[in-house]
Amino acid sequence: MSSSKMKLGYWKIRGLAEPIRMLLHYAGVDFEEVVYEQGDGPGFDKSCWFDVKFTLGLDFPNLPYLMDGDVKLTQTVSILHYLSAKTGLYPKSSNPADISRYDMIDHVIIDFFFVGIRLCYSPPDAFAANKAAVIERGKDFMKQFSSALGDNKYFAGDDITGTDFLMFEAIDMFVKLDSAFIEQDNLKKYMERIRDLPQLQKYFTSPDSTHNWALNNKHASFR
Amino acid sequence: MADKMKLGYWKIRGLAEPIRALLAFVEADYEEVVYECGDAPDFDKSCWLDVKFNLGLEFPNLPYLFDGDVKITQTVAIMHYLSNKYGLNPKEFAVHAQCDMLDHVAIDLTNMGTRLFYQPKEAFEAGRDGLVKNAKGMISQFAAFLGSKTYFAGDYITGTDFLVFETIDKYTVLEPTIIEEENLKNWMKRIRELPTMHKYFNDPSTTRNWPLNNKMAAFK
Repeated sequence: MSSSKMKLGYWKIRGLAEPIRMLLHYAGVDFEEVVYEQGDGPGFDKSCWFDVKFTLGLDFPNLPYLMDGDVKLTQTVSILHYLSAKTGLYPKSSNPADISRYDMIDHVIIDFFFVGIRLCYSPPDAFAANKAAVIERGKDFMKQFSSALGDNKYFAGDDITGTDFLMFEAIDMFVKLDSAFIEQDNLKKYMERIRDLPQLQKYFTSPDSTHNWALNNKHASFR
Repeated sequence: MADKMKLGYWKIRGLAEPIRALLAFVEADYEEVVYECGDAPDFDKSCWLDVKFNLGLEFPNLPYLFDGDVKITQTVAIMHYLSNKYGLNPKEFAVHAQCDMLDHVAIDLTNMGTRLFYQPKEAFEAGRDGLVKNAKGMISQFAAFLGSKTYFAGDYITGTDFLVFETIDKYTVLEPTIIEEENLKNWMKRIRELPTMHKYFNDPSTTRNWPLNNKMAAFK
């Protein structure tokens, strides 16, 4: 059996896969993007995915998916946790209190992320009507994230972990919705710190980087 | 001296019930901190909102768990913490990754229902059949993953079993015939018959007799 390259499957957007891509680029993992591109409006055809969805050997077919040898995973947080452990980008503490705290933060970030994602995919009139309130709700989360980060470089302390890639992407989405979104100095510096990482320069500056893709799929009100 | 472990949540099954099931299985000594919202039409939530930001929670939410220095929210994080504390973690790395995936699929399945249960009654009724159909599909995926194994990680129980059990059990309240696969029915029975869980499943005062959802839900 060939030990084939790790594969990450997702739409041709940043979406939920981008934190995973960032982690893989940061860790220097050679992986293959399996890219599904939705059709244009009005049909927004998703058959490129639906035609193969149930034939890939995934237990719970969904996007994003990760194939790594015998391991076939879906669910964004699970993929991030798996890759964090594999690449050493996992919290160094073995204290269960710390581990549970970072686990909690990952899931709060997902809640925060989906507040924004649901807005982006709501119909245009709902998007316009709800945008201000959703931004305010996002800012409430940001107060808590700022407090949790404190003076630390990253959420787990001095070392970057998978949590930080998830946080970066979720915040970046909200910044695209509202350029003045980040109010706290420590979070502004945090975002710059990640943008300046040597291991991510190619990722951030390369013209064909996935970082340049749309955030959301073609049928979204905000891409 | 450390305070007793506390689990805070609404007076419903909701997201806390998998946590309660795990704690019952390990016969943990803990305190339920119960918040009960008011009746219609206001469904007053001040019992929670008045204290929400005063409990020392970094991300105030329900359910929450206090255990000594640990103060956490987020259902999956709480389940993982307790699984680790009570030796209910998957043992192998790849199995651990799969159980993590199962945990998150269970949450997706739960949220799919929650989104409809809290709609106005007409919207709930209109969406009910579609929900049952979609849930059945996901439940079948759990059955296929379980296969001939005793529990989801293999021959030993993990926190994942309690999260998946409660997720699926809620749907049997919505539609009693929703589980079609024998292996899954047998696994549900296996968990119900765990010796340490007899009181949890059978005592009249069990939290399992509480409504699934809060008072403002179209389906409780």
